[in-house]
Amino acid sequence: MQKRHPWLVGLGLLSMVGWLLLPAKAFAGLSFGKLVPNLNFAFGNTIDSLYSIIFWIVTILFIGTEGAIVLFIILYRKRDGHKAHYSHGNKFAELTWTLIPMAILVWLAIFQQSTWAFIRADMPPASESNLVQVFAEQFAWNFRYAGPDGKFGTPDDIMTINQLHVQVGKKTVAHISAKDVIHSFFIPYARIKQDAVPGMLNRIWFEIDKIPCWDLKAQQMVFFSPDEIKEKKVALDGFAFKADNVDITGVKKYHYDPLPDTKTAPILYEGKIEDRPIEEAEYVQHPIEIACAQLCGLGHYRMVGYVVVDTPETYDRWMQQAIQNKLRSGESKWTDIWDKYYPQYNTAE
Amino acid sequence: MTEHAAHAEEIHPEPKDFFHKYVWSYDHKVISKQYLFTAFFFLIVGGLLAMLIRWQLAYPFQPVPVLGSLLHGHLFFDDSGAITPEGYLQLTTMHGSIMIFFVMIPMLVAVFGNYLIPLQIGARDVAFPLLNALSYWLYLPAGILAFSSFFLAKGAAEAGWTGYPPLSDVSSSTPGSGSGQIFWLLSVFLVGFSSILGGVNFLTTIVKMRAPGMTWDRLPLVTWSQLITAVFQALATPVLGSAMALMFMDKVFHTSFFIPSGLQNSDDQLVGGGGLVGNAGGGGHPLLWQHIFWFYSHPAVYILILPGMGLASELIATFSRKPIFAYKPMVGSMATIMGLGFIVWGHHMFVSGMSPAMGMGFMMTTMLIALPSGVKVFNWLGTLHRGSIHLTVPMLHGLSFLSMFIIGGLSGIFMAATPVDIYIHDTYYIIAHFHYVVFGGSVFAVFGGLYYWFPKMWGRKMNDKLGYLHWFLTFVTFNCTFFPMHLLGEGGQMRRLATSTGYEYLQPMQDINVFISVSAFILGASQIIFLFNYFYSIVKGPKAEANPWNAITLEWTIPSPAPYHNFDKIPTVYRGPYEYSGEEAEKVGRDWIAQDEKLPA
Repeated sequence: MQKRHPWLVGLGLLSMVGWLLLPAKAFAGLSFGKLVPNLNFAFGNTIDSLYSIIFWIVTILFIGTEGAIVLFIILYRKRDGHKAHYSHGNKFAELTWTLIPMAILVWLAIFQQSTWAFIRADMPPASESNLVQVFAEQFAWNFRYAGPDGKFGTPDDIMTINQLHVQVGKKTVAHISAKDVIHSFFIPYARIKQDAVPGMLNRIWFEIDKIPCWDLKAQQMVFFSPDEIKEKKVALDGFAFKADNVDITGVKKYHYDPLPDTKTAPILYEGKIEDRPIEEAEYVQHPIEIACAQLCGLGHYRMVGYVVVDTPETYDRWMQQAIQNKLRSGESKWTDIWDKYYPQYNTAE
Repeated sequence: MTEHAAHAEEIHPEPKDFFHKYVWSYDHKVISKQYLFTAFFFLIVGGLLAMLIRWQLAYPFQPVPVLGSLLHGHLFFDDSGAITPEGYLQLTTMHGSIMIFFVMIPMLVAVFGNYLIPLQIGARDVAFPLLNALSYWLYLPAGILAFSSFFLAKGAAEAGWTGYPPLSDVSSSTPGSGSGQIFWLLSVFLVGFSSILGGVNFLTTIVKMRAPGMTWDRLPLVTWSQLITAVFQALATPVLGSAMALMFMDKVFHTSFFIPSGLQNSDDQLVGGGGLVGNAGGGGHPLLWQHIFWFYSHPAVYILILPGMGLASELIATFSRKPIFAYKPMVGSMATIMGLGFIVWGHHMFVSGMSPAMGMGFMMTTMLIALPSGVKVFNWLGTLHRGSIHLTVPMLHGLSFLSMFIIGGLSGIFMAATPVDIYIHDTYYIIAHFHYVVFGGSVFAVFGGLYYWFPKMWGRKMNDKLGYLHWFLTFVTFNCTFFPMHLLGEGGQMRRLATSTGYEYLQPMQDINVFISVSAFILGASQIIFLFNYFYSIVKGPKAEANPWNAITLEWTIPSPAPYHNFDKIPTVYRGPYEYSGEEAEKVGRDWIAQDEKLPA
């Protein structure tokens, strides 16, 4: 005779919420969209709400089915005088739990087609967007802008490494490829991800509608709309970002410190950029990260890139500086090879 | 059938010498045990790799206790005993490859299929015993090849268990893509071949060798699941073999199946097939590999779960003392999974650059394949409903299979939704999802099966108290390990990162990584209880009777352990495999009646 251990099962099932035992701070406010807020209003919110819809559907199914298991274990546990009910099935029940889930799944699939098409199939016209080429290599992100002549593959191209500039509220079209192995261009805050495949041009678009800044008082990241930022004093330069290790788990403490011997810094305030005393700065323009989401070799874990989200003023300032400094133009051997093999990609829309 | 049965009465004598009895054996039961012990070995190896992975993620680039000080400067460790970035990639690549190809598929298919198919259909052996032995003797060298690649000068393969080119193809792109990757290709090719042989063998056996009266609707669901899995193995695995062969040619003969024109190495030199500098290759395509690979590897996911479904069905019906709810839809849904399983592979490639229009089609088929799995879940619940639930150790594992498979199945819906997948693709959400299916589902089913059929395999019983303890610790720590990974995925933590602490946005979740690792260490340690219980009981366990669980299928009608020739006389089957608590059972004064038992006149 086997012993009965329903309590054991109960305990075990409860452990599915075992993560409640985790340090509370790790879970405070942790849910989809909270930890990494969406900054892409064009379609990021739709992705987040689709996630929520699915989340609630599966939560109901989860509670229903797991609840049934626990309930049945208790109600129909082996005990004296209790006999199993002989049955081979029930057509009505079978039809119900085939047709209803099928309807939900088909609805889910059809419901999302238009979102998918909006994100992936339809590219915004060139007049409404900035075009940038993204070339991934082990282990860096190269970005190429057409430069003053508006054409790619010419000597006035502007190239940056690990730094992508986008204009707030304006669509950016990215033409993505890779030099050596497959990488994946992932901007968590913008809800986009696209593999960068050698020999292939992948096109995506996104938009970032809030400007990430670093609050110097609270030493943390904050996000401003284009209207909000007008009232803030945001330093564009003059500060250094530091990351100090806290313990052996790799947790870091981040902070911005003024560069030594720096008296003034370019500060954005009320839509103008002016040199002001560095003490006046309340915020620093802070980039968001680009991650590589495809295994690309031993440096995969450190293939971090940055997106600087600019206001129209700071974007123009950066572009003018880049043109003046001839940033990396005409210097890259490997883009020459790229341009030779794939000239058609430089004129792709 | 009658003619065949008469023929099968000629029993070959049991070999007496050690070599033919235990090494080069044709006996399906011995081959099953050969697979079992080899898979146990690889389970330990794969498990240790997982422990190292978790150490690195919780305490990045810190010296590993014990192993690090013993092996510093060797394998995955630097001179301080910490794991190197390339060592980490070897760990993840080989953890995945070993667990899938050398633990789970052999465990589910070769161990249980071999042991149970002939016994459950009332046959003396499989259709092709020599082929059966060959398939083990292909699997073993494949395993040795995979294992020995750790000791190569530049280490084992590093390109992930998916081996995406050009990373895997171009030897200069990462240290493990030299000879490590070639070892990997050869070992996967060999183990794939072994799998094809097994599939063909089981298909033939089940179709041709069923005992008289064992009609399709009387076949136990374990055997049904093996039959459907065998179709997958026979049809999908050759495609995997072709992928391996093509990449082998790229690497060794410098063809360019997966190398596009204009590919460059880190020194901006043009490289061709296999990464040869100056090779005027090119013209191939990296996505070609992904299509071929996933055309096999998505069905492989079902190879990894269907036999588990079969095992769980057996456990749930037996210990609910009820017939399985809706037997035919249970079979039908497995067949539907097989059919649809061949046309969903593209959901692994939603962000690869594959045409968005293809994404739409694959989203539809992927949503639909959730349906048969859902139907099965409801039918298992239907089986529990109004049963008499015996919470034995195997049953707890069967119930764990059910409850964990539900989570794994539900989390799959997020990925099937292409817009949501854009964000969670290649994150820990995926890791959580497939560990809930393969560990939460299949591993619990395998544990359940090992406990349940232990008396039949060894003629002894396992210790119940240790069994409950092992189950409890495994169940709790499994959930503590893998559930929080959903949260990491929501927070956007990528998979295959040697550490996530280099990213500012992933920082707030490092505490979760530490929690997961501690849970994983306890989970790993808990398995020692199982291994001890299993091996101790083989030698010292109390003797088991023929049918300790009062079960119905044919394997319980013969003595424990199953004799060499299985059945003294090929049985005749009169009823289905789950006739618990019915009228016929009542007539014999029990709550069960064996499949081959004649009712008293």
